[in-house]
Amino acid sequence: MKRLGRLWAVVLLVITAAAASLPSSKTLADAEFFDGKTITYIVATKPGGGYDTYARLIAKFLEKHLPGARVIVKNVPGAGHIIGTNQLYQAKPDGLTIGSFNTGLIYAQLLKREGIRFDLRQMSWIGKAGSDPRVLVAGAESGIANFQDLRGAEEPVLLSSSGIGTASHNEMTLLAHALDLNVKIIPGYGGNEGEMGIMRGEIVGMLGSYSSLRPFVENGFGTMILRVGGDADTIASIPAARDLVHDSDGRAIAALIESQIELGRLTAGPPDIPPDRLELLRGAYEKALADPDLRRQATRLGIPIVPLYGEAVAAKVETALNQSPATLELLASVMNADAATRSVKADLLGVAAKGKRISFRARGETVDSKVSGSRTRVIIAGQVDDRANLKEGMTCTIEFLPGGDNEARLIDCGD
Amino acid sequence: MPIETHAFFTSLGALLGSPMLLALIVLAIPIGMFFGAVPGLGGKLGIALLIPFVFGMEPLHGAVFLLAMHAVVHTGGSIPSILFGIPGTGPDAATIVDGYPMAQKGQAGRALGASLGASGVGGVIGAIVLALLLPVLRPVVLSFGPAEFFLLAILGVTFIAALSGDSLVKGLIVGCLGLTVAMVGMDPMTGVARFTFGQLFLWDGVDVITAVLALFAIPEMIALGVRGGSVSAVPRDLANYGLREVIEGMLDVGRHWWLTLRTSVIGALVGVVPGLGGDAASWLCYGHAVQSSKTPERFGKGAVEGVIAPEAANNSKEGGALLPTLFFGIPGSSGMVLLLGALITLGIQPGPQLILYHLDLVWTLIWALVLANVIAVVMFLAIARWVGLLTFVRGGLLVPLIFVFAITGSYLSSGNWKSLIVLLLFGFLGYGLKRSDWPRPPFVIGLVLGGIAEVSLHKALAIWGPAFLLRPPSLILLAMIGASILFYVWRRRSLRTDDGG
Repeated sequence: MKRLGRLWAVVLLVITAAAASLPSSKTLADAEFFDGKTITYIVATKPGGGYDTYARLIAKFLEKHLPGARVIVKNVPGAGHIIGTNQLYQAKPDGLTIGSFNTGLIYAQLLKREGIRFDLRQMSWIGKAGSDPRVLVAGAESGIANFQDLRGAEEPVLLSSSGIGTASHNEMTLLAHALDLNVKIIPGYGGNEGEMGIMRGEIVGMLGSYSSLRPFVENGFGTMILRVGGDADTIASIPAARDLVHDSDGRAIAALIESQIELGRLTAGPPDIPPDRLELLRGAYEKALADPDLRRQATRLGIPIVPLYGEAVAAKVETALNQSPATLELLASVMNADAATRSVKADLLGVAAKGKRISFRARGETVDSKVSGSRTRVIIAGQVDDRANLKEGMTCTIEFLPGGDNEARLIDCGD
Repeated sequence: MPIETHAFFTSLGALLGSPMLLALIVLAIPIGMFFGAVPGLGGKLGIALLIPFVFGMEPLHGAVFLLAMHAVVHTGGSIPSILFGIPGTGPDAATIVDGYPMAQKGQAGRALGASLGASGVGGVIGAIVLALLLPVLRPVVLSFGPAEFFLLAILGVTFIAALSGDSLVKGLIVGCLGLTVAMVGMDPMTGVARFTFGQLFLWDGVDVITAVLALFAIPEMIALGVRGGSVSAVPRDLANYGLREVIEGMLDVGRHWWLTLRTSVIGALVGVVPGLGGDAASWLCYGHAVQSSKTPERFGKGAVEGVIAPEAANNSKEGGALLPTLFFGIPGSSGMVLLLGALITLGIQPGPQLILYHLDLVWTLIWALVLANVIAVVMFLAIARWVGLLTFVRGGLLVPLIFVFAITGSYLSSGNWKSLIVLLLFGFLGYGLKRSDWPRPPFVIGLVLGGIAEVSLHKALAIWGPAFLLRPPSLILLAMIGASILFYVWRRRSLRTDDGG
């Protein structure tokens, strides 16, 4: 017992000593807070690749401009940056955990994607380092040499995307809607498979970031036919989506994508970092990004540095998240499974097999559409009805899934 | 072409005549083998961590250093596969199936020798394939698309029949289980999470290294703990373990030279085509070895061919993967993604112009690949003797250590502690399969190829419709699938008649 008591005394002494040596955050002489501390910089992807490259470079120079601090990079990959961002958001807001993640999470938050445990509005924004204009590239031998060719395409033009729910897929879907393009997006082309697909000729083109597609184009494998952002870049002569849209929906979509582009390679901390510490971090970040050494190394790594700091980034994030209800609805309707449908108002040209098949005209061509007994809602004169009662010549609003048997989701006929 | 032959020799002369380059290669090899041998690290991380060090180097020096390092990762990766049933890297996982049983039979030295020899030869052949393909690169790379990927995966899955040993049905059941587990994750076609149980980390699917550790390392270590003794069931004095054994293993590579050559070429070709991946290369070659063997029943029980095939393939594929990386600027493997980034950092812009203006650089890289593989064999030979002795360490000492390695490997490779739960669950599955004598490799093949098969099928159908099966390369692959099934049936029959008569 006596020995145990002595042990306790020692433990208490150590704790008290430790507590005494730790200055309380309020009375802290703020400039020295980070001296002797270790800052964890979370990157929401695996080692290697763009995000990791930016993060390691920035971490190195943050360390340089926060005297006495150590900055270590921690990769927390998974679920398309969501796991790492969740972890960053839930970290203790003491300024010792900051991190970087995909700007595309703005879409994820707008669309209320499952798995998200963060609110980008609440984060402590430190800065952003990049700007990644998007370009639509068409294969050199695809027969599509410019935007006019794409817009005038009779047959659906095949474009690749890495997968449903990814930023590239979202943006291509939005652009196709805004510019009224006759395209078919084929998901499943992760990594560099899109470029391979273009070279093999099985797909025509893809939307990607300018920096990643530039070598492909410079090697003569493709042509850039459309851009979003990049006004100040060497690609300014390529038609910009913003100038090609023709209605308010289109303008909203172009603005949304541009806001994503501008906010490339973000750095942020969890909500409620004490203001004095956040200021220190922002100051160090600004100095780091302005450091000629960092600029030199970035040039060698081939990564563009287009920085923006602190409040300015917070304001841009706020703007990107504050979409009008109309844009949000548009976004959701373009993105959601329902929204892959096309909607037309047309006369039924033919009804066959007791209403199991109908045909009508959409966009100048005749569509044969399957009417499912379970999945298609049939409404005639405002009443839910049976498909067998569909008649030739009825004027209906038809929502259908383009491709395959063009299955109808909704057939709403006047009478 | 006179210019090409000129560059061919001058580049070798330049490499051998530069003490700096040779020193860099010699320095790079132990680093690469280390990143391969420690489960969960891998060549990709190796390059990521070394990039800062090559910053100040001359472009050629930096590129040779990184390439030499990356080229020998799988030479080192086979060590834990053979000794403890833990894959050093994903592509070394197939080596476990026969390498570990060899260690259990007291033949760790021979297995290491075979792996070493196959790695060396594979690496060199990979470089030769790279050199030979230079003129016909484009058509070769471009003839493999989603339709071919799908059918290649199916071809791999039909190997399950060959792999399943005594019962086709058991093999298929386990294989389908692997395919089912490959469905776990975010479906790229619909953006819907499948079988993820509300767990975000499962969006990326079940980590292959974790699955292999669970199915092989965990059950083997439980078995070792239960049985007692050491990994090698044969006592040390009887195992006659020494350098001679290692050299014996290397001679096995010569005895099976035709298999070594075929699997090296297959591996290099898989490497040339971006998208299939290194794991697929070694498993496809393992399957090929089983299928082309006259005595397939020996596989899984310590057949030396089962070590040679995947090890030749996983080294040769690095040579192949360099091709699209250098000449299209499109990386042929995940490690090459980083190498590509490093090359750009060093001021080398990959692309078709490289072959026109910098052919000497290309040849120097090819020679560096050859040299690194050869030197790695020599360096490893010096230590292989001592490494193999680990299989004679008492199980009581080894089992806890291996569990630590398995857990670290799973965590490092997936980056999420919840993978350890997957490790545990599949560990039970693996032990159950082992106890009841069901085959385990088909599970891993299903898991590795399932994702490629599914996505490729979707893509092929979206682009060509069912008519994709009628494209000429598809027809060839379909014929191969049909032939392999017929061959299997025919062999089973003849085996049965042999037994009967």
